[in-house]
Amino acid sequence: MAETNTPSVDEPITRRGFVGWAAGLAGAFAALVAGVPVLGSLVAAGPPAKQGDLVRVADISTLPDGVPAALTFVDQTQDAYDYSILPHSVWVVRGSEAASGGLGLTAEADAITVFSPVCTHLGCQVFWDASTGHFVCPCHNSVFSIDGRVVSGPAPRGLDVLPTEVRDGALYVRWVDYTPAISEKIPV
Amino acid sequence: MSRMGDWFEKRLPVAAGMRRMLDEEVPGGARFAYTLGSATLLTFVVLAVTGIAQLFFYVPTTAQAYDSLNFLRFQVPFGWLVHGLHYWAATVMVVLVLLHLIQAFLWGAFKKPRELTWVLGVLLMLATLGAFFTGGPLAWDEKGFWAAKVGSGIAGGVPVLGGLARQLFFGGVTVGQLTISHLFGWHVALIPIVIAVILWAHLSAFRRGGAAGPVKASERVGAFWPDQVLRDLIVFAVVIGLLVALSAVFMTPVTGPADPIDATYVARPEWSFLFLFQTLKYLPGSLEPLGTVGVPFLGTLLLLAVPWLDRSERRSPAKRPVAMAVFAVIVLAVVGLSVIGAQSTQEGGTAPSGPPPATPAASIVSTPPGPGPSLASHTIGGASHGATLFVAYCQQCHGARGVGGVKNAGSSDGTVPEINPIDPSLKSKDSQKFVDLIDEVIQNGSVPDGTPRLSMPSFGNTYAMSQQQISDVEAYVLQINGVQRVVISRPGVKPLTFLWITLIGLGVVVVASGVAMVQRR
Repeated sequence: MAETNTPSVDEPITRRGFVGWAAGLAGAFAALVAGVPVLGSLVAAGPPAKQGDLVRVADISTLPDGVPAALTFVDQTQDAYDYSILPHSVWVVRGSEAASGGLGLTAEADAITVFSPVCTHLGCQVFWDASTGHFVCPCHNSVFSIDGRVVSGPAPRGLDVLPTEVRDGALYVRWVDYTPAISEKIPV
Repeated sequence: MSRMGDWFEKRLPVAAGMRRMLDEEVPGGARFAYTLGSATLLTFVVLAVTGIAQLFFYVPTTAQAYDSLNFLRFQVPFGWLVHGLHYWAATVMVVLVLLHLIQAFLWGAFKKPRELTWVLGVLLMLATLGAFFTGGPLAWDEKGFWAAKVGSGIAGGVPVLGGLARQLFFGGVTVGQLTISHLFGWHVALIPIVIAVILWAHLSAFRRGGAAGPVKASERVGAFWPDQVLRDLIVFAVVIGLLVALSAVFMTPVTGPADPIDATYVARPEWSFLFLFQTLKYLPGSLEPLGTVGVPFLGTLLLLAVPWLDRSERRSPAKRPVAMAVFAVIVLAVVGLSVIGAQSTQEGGTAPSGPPPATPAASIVSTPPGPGPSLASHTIGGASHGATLFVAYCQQCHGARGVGGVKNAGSSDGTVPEINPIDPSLKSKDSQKFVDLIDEVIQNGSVPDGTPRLSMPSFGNTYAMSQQQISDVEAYVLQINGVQRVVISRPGVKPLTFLWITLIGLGVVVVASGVAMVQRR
């Protein structure tokens, strides 16, 4: 033990050096113990979103044929701890190819498809461009067909189809947020 | 020194510290060319001070962020100045950081033994851009909201670490309350602390290596105090004058409250990110991470590696042809892409072609209209976005720019009432009264006398338009009738008066410093 008191070239670890290393390691461990939970809380996902209700949005008979219609409805929305009644707008395509005038609508005559207007690229809102017969996103020019398929632009998948039901001649829609920017359609 | 000063100095050596700070050699003599770093530091101090002042008013929630900021801007004495200085200093700081970096590169100031000063400077630039990006969405206006939306989408699209990054910066996939909270934490706490720490290291490393001095070696040695300080003072006066002038003359833009369901707002990034935005458009979906992460990441690595890529001892740009050529290509590419990106901003400024996203006729709303206070009338809308919405929702019946002339068979008037000019009974010089009057009609609709074919639908109660959109349209209707929605009701001192007072004060500083400089020659 006596040798370790005198620093020597052959003995790389002195007592002082060892204490220094130990203090450093203890500090690092303490930082880890405090830091991991803090970081963990910062990157934690929010609570699982409340599943939206099926909301009655329109009488089927009022929907135009072969032309997308923008419908607005309100629903209770959960945003972390904030619950509020918020409007959603959706694109409803009821359609037959005959009525759509050659836009390439492949659905059956009375089929109704409800698209989320949220662009699958980065989440801007698409609009219907009647002059070209496409859905267009104003942010990075993603273009979708009336069927929701990607025509051009950076969108990784087609427009998201929302769950619907038809009851007593009325259309019901459930609002769902899907994760943008990935090729799979995954609810948030 | 006085006895009291002496007593103090023995216990806390302030004067000695000041002397150490000011006692610095300036190789080649003091120059205006050496003021870029100090000017950048000045803008950071302005941002810190005005940022703290804003915290006394700003509320980081989706419901109140926009309105609380407008309260500060328009109803708190000097609030226009506090917010204006913060807004403009942010832009000026980014510009100065870039100029400072370009100068250090061109003059070869990163070369041995100043490599670490350069590396820390690059990190400071990244932190500054981070602060610049995280600040915008806090206003929770249309521009800020869509910037956060696109930003979170970009983060989420990054392979492997994307989801984690989105959680950390934006609080999740949904851009909402947690997004504000997270960006707020970054912007007002984490990033400023990081900047302060790196800044301290940057300045320490700078003092250790000393100023690089002119490219051509010179025997002359100047003094930081007072020669360089006088030049810094003059530049400080110019920067402060510029910031106050920008704040007084150009009000910070009012783009309207954030509206998640609005499809008519065209999201465009801040000018400093336009080149990335434009790059993104050239890449197909599968290669997108290349533009969103690859280009910035490689660019950063390249910048950090500069001292080890250009290792010759020659500092003169003329003797570093390869470095200069690479630099020129990169600058041309960034500037070119930014200009193209900026032009598409203007295209985007017009309304999207085709029918509006939700024409009143196509909007069918199931939820029964509910009574309740109008949120729109007490929110300051954005008139320019209101103009876009007016084309989409109102023009069909009220004519372009509201000039009227649209036939309405069966109504007593025969035509739809024009909005421009509006019926005097709906008008008031007081912007809030004016808004209250038209808000009633827009929220609830109205039926003209007679048996009209067209009647004004209820836009608010039926959710045909969101309250945010209505506030924007209201601001536009006021504007075409010669009333501004935005009124600084309690300016403290009127902006232009304040500007003149400031310019006179700064003028004295500039003249005094100039005289002192001439006398030192």
